[in-house]
Amino acid sequence: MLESVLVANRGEIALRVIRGARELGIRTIAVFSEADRGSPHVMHADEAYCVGPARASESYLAVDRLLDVARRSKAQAIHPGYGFLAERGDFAEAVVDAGHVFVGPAASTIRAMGDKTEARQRMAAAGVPVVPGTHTSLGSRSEARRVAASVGFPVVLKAAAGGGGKGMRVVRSANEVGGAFAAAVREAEAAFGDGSVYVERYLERPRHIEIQLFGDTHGNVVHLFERECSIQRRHQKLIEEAPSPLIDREERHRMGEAAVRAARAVDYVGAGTVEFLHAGGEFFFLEMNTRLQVEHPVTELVTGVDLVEWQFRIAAGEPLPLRQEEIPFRGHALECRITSESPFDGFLPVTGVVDEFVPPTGAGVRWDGGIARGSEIGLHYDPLLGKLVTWAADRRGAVRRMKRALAELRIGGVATSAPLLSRIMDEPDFRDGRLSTAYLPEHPDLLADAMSSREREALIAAAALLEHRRRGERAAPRIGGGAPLSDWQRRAHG
Amino acid sequence: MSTRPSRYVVSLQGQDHEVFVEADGGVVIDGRRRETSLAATSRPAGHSLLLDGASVPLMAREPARGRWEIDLGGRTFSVEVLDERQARIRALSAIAGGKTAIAPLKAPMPGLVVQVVVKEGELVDTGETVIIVEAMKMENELRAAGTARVARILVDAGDAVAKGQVLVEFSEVEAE
Repeated sequence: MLESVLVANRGEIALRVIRGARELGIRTIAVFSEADRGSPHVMHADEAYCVGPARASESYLAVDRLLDVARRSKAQAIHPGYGFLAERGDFAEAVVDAGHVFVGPAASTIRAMGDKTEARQRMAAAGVPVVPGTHTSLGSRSEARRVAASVGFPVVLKAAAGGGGKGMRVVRSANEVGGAFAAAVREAEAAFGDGSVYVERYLERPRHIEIQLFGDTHGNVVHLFERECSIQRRHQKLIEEAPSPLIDREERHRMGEAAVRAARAVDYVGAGTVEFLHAGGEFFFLEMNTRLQVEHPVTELVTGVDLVEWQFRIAAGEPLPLRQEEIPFRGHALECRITSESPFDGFLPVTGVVDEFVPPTGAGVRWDGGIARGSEIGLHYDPLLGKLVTWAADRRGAVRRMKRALAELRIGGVATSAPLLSRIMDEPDFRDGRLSTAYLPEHPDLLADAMSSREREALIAAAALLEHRRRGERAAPRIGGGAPLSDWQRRAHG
Repeated sequence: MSTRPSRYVVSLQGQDHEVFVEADGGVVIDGRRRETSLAATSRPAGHSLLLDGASVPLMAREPARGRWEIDLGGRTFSVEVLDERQARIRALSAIAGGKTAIAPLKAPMPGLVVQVVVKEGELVDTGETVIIVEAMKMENELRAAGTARVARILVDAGDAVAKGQVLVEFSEVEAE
């Protein structure tokens, strides 16, 4: 096994990786920006070093500083987490050149899959179905217009270096192409430093189903079944689950086989995910993510496999612990992403200080988070505060459990996506598994800022009592001394 | 010692409610009496409200005197509480205030101005994009809340803006 690992990330994923490493007896080295000095991942690691100011380009993306810390702390391996440098081939190469083990696939694999147009070509060649579209980047507005027309509307413009919905635009008619192309290039440049954009057919109401993969250095590849991630907002996943309520055993097998073929085509080593769009009874290759996914916990709960443990074992040169037919697939798991965004306010990013934080506990509930009371939520990083994951014997049970867990979750001081997620758990289409990536636009009621009369009354009563108490503190309270105490007394006497 | 209930005017989302807080834990909201108990559960914000026995966890803070910010069911609400005298003054000044102007467009979050779509003097309609602000690498299109004329643009593309900063001011559309 590895002796030590530097985790080149922050937030919930840094904590997740550190936990996995510590369980294996691997010495853990955290890095942090000046803004993250008080973050949980710093406290849970064996060692932690500052790598620069809050701005990610000067800290979590500063390859030289990260490698410098790795050298000084004698880190044997570097785990990139997801985001930041996880899918930068140059980083993987620099890590290996500096004499460390990169916990992930080879730089050449990352590059091949990171360039979305090259990935499509490689997949098509390997016999994996791909969505109709161009395989090359578009050079100009006029080229974008011409190619979009030939593929047939609606089309989607995507950043070649992209992911996560950034630099992505759906275009429904020819006269929208020019503006959308400019916006996509601008966003792609800002987010990835690369303005290359390509076009493909936009599938209406598709479902997003992905296959978790693992490859080892001995030529073995297995899949860990699917996750369905159809509930999204502007291509950002909100809810993920396994198994998919849509596909049956036979289709699961076919998609798994296609994903394994995709992995073999690029000599895949480590954890990876092949994302498919499923529409009209067909599935198409969307992209391959050469890293651990945000939503990996749902796979862990239904298979019993610790994905981070497998990443470390493979990085240490061990063979895959299980053969395909030995991998269990049991029950149903659901994940909700809790983000610092205000869902009833156009999902505006929210900033503030977390002044109350109680994660849910109890049977079948897991919280993977990176915040604590007092955490400052700024705009420097991803808005993901944590992931709430539930497991039960079947989907209905997992949904019921999620509803309960969301009600228990208390995050104060910043608005979160939790109330929307809670509404979705009650919504009939979701409950019955009728999912699609168009789910949110098709259910606008979920985003209505409505308040029940019960909630209204509670707010009015609470505000009046709080104000009354504050005034009472000044003008000699009628009962008892301190404010909280007087309430307990009041209740005891009432 | 007086046992007379205290009277407040509580305003929530533009609606005023008459509330009496009684000494024994009763709260009368718009004439309906509820049995209540409020306890602080964790510092600084955690509270537990019992409302006719129903358990309501909430979080509360007071950003300004008489203004309470309350998190309920994962959402944050702003509630204002005035006593009788304050409510009377407020009512008098509202009558004197007269016509309402069209609210200026403010930055809903800190970010970077990507593009100012409108020009000064231009007419905008409800829902039209006025300005594009980038935050967390996502572009957010800020739209007009009503029909208005663009009176003044206070920012340029490339400017960093703070939450609440006024970006564009509007004037009323003159009658044809």
